Amino acid sequence: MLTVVILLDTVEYMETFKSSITKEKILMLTVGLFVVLSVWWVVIFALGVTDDPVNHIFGFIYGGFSLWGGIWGLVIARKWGGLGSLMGKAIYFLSFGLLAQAFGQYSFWYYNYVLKIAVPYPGIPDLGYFGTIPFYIYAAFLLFKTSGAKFSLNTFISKAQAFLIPLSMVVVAYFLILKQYELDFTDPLGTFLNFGYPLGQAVYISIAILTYLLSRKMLGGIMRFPILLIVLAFAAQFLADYIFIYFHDLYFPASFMDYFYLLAYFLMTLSLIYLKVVADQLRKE
Amino acid sequence: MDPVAQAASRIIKEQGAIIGPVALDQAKKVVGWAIVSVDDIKVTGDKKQALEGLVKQFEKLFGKASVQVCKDAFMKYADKIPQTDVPDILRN
Repeated sequence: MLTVVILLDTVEYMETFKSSITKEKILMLTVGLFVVLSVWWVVIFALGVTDDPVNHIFGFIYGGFSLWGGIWGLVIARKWGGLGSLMGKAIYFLSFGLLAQAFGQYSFWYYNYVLKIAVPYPGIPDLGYFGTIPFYIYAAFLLFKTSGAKFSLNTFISKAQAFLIPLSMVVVAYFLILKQYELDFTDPLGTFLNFGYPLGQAVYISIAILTYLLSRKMLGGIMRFPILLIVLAFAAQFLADYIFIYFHDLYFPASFMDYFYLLAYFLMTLSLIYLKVVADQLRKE
Repeated sequence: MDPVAQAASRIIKEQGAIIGPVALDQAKKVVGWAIVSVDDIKVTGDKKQALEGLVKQFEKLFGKASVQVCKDAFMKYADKIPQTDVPDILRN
């Protein structure tokens, strides 16, 4: 629902965005790569194969999307002041999040395709997948401050939202996922991850939703679109993670779960590269 | 430094804390200022118009959120600057 609302909000920026795609080669390449991978995924889906080399090659290449976005983010953060500014810091932490996903993806792929064994849980890929969560939480918090959402926190309704949204996300996490888990002190790490994944993801999506709702009246200008795009990317990552946790028993390389991850990486990468376009435009004007 | 220039310096620093070097780049484009660095600023035109131009330049980036940051930064200098030099956009 939120995703649809944000999408509608971004419609007015589509013309500017389209013209940026044609001018910026990196943006064009990123969109082009996503289109190619999407077509590839549709072909795999249509063929109905689950353990073919095309599945594994897709897994290898789409994982690279987060690496591509993460590396670009490190470069782009410097244009916005790096660790010396809120925006630069937010971009760095979003990049770290993407790079952590890349680590998770490639170690997952290595177990699956090279070692040909079941991916252990908890295992090395969790270092990356779980590592994304604190990076994204901090980045979401920085974007909250940047977007002007904090200026709206003085009304009763906004204070109520700030309390109710995280609470409702925890309730969602409980009923969808946490309810099925039991505390198992013989496996402390596994238990920590079982609870830590959905709760951590609930934290960053809560901050992102609050950023969107509380900054609606304050946030405008040239930065509104990239910030909305980042909120959308958070929503896509949250959705991908929850779908994976919920349906992981049905997982195979290049399954629908992977496509949701591809979409999340694409949106985050697009947001970061669009911030490069904005920084370059501001310098030229 | 003139209080209006001090206020401008404060505004640019606060914007810089959000968007980094982009803030100084944007400020340098505003008519009515001679800006060498964030601590070396002179008003060359009408003070009220120069301040208004500066805030509007930042407004292009984040909209009202940028204006609010400017207002907060300006508050410290509000009583040192004659009301005739304060643009409406910086009044509460």
